[in-house]
Amino acid sequence: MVRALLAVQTALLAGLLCAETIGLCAVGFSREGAAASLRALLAPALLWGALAVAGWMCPEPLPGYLRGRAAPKRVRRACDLTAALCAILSAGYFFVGGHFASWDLDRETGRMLRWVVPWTAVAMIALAVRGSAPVSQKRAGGRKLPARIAVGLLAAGLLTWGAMNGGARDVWMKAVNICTECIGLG
Amino acid sequence: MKKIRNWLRSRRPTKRRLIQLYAALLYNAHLKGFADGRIYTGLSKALCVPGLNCYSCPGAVGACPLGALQNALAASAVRAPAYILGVLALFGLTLGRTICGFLCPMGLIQELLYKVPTPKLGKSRVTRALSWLKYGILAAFVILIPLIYAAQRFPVPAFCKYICPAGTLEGAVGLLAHPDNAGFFGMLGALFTRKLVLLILILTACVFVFRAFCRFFCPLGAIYGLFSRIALLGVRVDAEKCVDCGNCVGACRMDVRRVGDRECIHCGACMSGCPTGAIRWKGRRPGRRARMAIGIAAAAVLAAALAFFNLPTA
Repeated sequence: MVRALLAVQTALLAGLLCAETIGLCAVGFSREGAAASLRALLAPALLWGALAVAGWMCPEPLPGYLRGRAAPKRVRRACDLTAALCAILSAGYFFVGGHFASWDLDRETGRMLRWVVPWTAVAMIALAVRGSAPVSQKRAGGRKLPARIAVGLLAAGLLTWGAMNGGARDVWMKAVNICTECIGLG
Repeated sequence: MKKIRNWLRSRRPTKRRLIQLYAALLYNAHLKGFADGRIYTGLSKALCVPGLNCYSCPGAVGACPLGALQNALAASAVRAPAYILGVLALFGLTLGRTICGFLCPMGLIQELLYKVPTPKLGKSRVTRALSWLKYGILAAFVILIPLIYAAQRFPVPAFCKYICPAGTLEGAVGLLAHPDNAGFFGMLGALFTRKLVLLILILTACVFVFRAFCRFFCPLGAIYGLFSRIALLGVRVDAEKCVDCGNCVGACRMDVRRVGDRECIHCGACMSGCPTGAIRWKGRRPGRRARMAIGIAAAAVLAAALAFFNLPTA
């Protein structure tokens, strides 16, 4: 009962936080506005905290996990084909000319998402319907050493080349300036 | 008294949790950045930390590998992104997704949120399907969009800009919390609103779903998962001892099909479920003295980092 209440309160608190954020955006962000929003959320947050403490006092077992189960072979093939087709259609957006031509990133990303998201959703549904059967944990050893040596040499070569061509300096120059895009300033 | 002692003992942090806390503190050793509201600008920022840690966090002393990758790809018309590709190959080969399980601050935050005692959503074929989503995000936001705009000489770190919760939580909240950065508030708009709402939704999801961001959205985990077969560190199954009971997959909270596959974060939770002791860490366990020496060296490194990165500036 306590855990169910806590789940509801968590969702409610998240909703209130989102609503306050959108409200602040509408009136303009300010330090005072942010402080006022946080004060308004103090009561729900305290209730959440109290419920969390109560929940910790009442331990319950974690949910069980479902064993793998796959759909019949024909269905699996159809799902694989559907997922592959959706991936190709999604990827095709990036390679067709005329997309990402403008520097209005919000508009270009929005257009991209409007095309890609439905196909991705269909692919996810196909993969979920497909399922996957349990596999043996006894994987054949295989020859990993040549692959490890090859990747190791590649990594060393790339690092040396990158350090010599100024790649490390580029990383440093980017990292010592506040990334306004990363923090949402645009 | 005994009950309290037993209760505390059952909630003692595991070694893995201590390593996660250690890594988070080491990556953000510039603690005075939180006090003065400024990011660190020293030479160590040319080095990438293995986990997801925004370089705009006031405490960050290293660069974020994902941000560095996007910026390197965005500048690939001028310079080949060899350095960051070499760094990622090195991290992938040596540590693989052990980074996710032990060395990622975002992973730590997600696991702590999962401890909130709400009903939980277990894994299923739906979560297994959703685990493919991070590869799509890697392809679209981390690789293709920066590369497409690189040809136009317009740098676009698309994942950092539109999705990354580490940037919003560590960078934005970390900087905006300081009074000296009040001027940034006037620059906030729709982009920040979208990012903050996305952060709230992701963190809420992490309360109900184990490592929701890690499993479904993190491109860095997607990259490291590609090295799962050859990574030097991690868990492995002894085929001679294994009886294929499936307890390991059942005990795992990630969407693995096989111990050590691309979804495995090598946390070791599967070991407790194995009835034959077939699951163990790769390589040989160091002796007691070696473990003590490693612990002392690690503590010394952390102490030195905290002292060095918080020296008063002239």
